[in-house]
Amino acid sequence: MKYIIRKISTLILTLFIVSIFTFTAFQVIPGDSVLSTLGMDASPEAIQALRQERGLDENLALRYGRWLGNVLQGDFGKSTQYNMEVGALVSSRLTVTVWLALLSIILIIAISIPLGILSAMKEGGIIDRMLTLLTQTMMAIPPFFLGMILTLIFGICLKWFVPGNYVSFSENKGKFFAYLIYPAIAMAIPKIAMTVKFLRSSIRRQMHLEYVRTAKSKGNSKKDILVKHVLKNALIPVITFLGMIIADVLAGSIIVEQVFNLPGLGRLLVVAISSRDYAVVQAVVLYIAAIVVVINLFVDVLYRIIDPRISKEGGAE
Amino acid sequence: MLLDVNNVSIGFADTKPMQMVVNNISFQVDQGEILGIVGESGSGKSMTALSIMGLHKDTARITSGEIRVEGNNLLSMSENQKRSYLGKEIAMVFQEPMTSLNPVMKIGDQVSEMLAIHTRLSRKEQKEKTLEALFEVGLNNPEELYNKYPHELSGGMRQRVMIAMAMICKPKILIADEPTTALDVSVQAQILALLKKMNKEHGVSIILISHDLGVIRTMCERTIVMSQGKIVEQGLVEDIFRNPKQEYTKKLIDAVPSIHKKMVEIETVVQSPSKVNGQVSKMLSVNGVNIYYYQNGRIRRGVKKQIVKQASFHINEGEVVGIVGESGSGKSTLAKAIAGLNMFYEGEITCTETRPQMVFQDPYSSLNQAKKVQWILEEPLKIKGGYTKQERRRLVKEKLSEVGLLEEIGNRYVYQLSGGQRQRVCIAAALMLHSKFVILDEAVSALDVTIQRQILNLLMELKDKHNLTYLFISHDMNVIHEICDRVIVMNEGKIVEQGDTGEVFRAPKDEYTKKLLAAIL
Repeated sequence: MKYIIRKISTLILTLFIVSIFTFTAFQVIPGDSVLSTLGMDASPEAIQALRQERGLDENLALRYGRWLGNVLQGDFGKSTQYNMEVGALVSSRLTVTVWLALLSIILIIAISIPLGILSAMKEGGIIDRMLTLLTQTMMAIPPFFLGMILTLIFGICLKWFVPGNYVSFSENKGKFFAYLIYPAIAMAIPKIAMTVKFLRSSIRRQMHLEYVRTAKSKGNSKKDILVKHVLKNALIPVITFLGMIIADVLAGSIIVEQVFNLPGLGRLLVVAISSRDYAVVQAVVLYIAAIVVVINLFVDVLYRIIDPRISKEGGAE
Repeated sequence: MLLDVNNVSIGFADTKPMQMVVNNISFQVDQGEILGIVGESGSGKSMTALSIMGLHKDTARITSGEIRVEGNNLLSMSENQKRSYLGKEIAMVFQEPMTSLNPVMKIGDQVSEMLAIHTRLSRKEQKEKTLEALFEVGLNNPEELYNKYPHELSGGMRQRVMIAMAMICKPKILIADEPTTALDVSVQAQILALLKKMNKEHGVSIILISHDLGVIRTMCERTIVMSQGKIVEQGLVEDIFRNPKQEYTKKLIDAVPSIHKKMVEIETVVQSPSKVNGQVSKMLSVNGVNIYYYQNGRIRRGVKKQIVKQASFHINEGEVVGIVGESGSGKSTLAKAIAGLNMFYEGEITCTETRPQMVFQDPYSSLNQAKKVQWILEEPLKIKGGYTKQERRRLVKEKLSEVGLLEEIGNRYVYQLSGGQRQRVCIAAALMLHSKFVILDEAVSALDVTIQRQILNLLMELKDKHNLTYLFISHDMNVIHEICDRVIVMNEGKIVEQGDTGEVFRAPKDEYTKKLLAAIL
């Protein structure tokens, strides 16, 4: 329990530091949201007036203080680009990103773990060699190209979905998921390939350890050795790896969103940065930072459950 | 006849032509007997034992022969048929009880798994039998242990768990591959007694594999001596010891440092010359040293744990002083502080030699594997500076020949050397800068007896030649007795006894020293 409290305080501290960092970074890069709204040809008076209205002429510390105060009350400010509440904007985009991420995470875990085990079990066999070749290839293909191929096969040739015809979650849930599955596959494939490769080598490393020999000496079958003894040990490093992948997927993918025309977080962030929409950028960056920290916390807790050698105090002597 | 190994040969399939590691060996084991297999590393003894269970590496192939258990040939069985023998009829206890147990599985589950595989008992019955088995091997709180993990147990306890696991299905044959090599001496005696008890009470036949002739002698009636994949001698243990027929067996027996042998010699040798000189100056003095470790240290500093408590002693120039104690006694921690590898201690350590050197137990992992021997030996000279390339080469060549290595060894990598050669390289590295004081931390413990003999002789030669002073750390009482002038006994961080080796061994004062001496085979 104490451990959880400590971790949560680390989370808060991290978010605080990240927010200061992005806030100052925006001060350093040239241009601001006023220029982006009014355009290059606006009169200096108009620019000055809007700056004042948006509070951009005040000093940085004061603005940060005000922003922080509002955030603590749940108010993330207003987007200058979309002219709406940041909270509402981000949460509408989050629906897409989170569902997309969840679908790909399910795909990643459901496909890569059995494949990794299969590949390790048939070490050196034809299935293993095919899988190695396949994972190698899939890792090398850039995601946007993968997205295009999926669109070509399923959208244009097979006509299973209409490319670019995104239906939002609130409109029609069925159609929403039927569309979302393709970008989810595009996002998952390279990650599946990486996870399979990682799990395979982790299992193979375990296979040479002495406890496996003991398990064999007890009369366990090959399958039982793998399932009862090796898998739990082999999953320990894979969990860290999966944690990184999950955090990455949840942060949203600009490329996949672009290819499939999805209004997700990745695209929102890009637009917000180029239009200097700092309230939106702050909120998105905070979300990503929070995801990374929370996933890490989750991985840590899972570690403790799986590996008894990690004591509550944090490690053996 | 219970087990009949007939004309078995084993080779490695990944080299061409196939490299044979076991050549046409045959032996039998009778019901209820303890058969020893003794030999040095690489003699093929472990390979033989593993092949009985079919546990040899995938690259090894049994090229000929039969292994029959009660007449049934294991080698011609299908994988499934054979599995019904493993664990049930033949069980095995391995050398490293830590790595041989699954680190993320509860002790109780690991033991009861045997029952799950080979019996039709209910879960409840399995648990009951497991608790009984744990209790039988001398683990007094089986209920508590059932839910523990291997890392929470001491080495001796883990080995008891391994034995409980191996014995739970009442096998006919138990193969014990160096079961006590990784354990402390006093624990070794307990584990051997336990194996003997299992043999007496359950009538299980034991094949005991060991490099340690003392272990073989106390445990077995009959033994096989193996060398280079062949059986060179077999027969009754006492006959072989008293009257070895083969040159190899003689060499093996002579190489063992043994108190029993030395006791006779010591009466004839009056005193070592270093003490006769009268004039002695101190090489090292350690005064009231305390050393602490912090348990964990990720974010906060954890519990402060004292490893060495108020250690005080001195070493005179030209002396060999031994520190003896079991693992966890703090002897290595103290040595590291003396060598300057750990600066966090309280108390006073003064050493006349500015660069005390250390030689470690495992020469393979303590040498840089990515560099050639020449580079490793030149490094101290480079750090000190002031030598030209030619001078460095000449000095390395000199040192190599001094430790009995050929010049061409300089061009090799560590993995291309044998264990003995590696330890010679470590010794050469320690002497590169003409240090007069060398700390040997279990420097001969990992070596085969005959190699150990050579290294001990080399150390003594070098000591006489350069007037070196040694601090010799070991858990092996026999080795300490043979080479040390004085001995320091450590237990749980404290020095419990120190004095002249002969005196301490003849009339130990402390209870702990007595216990250690009683455990010597």
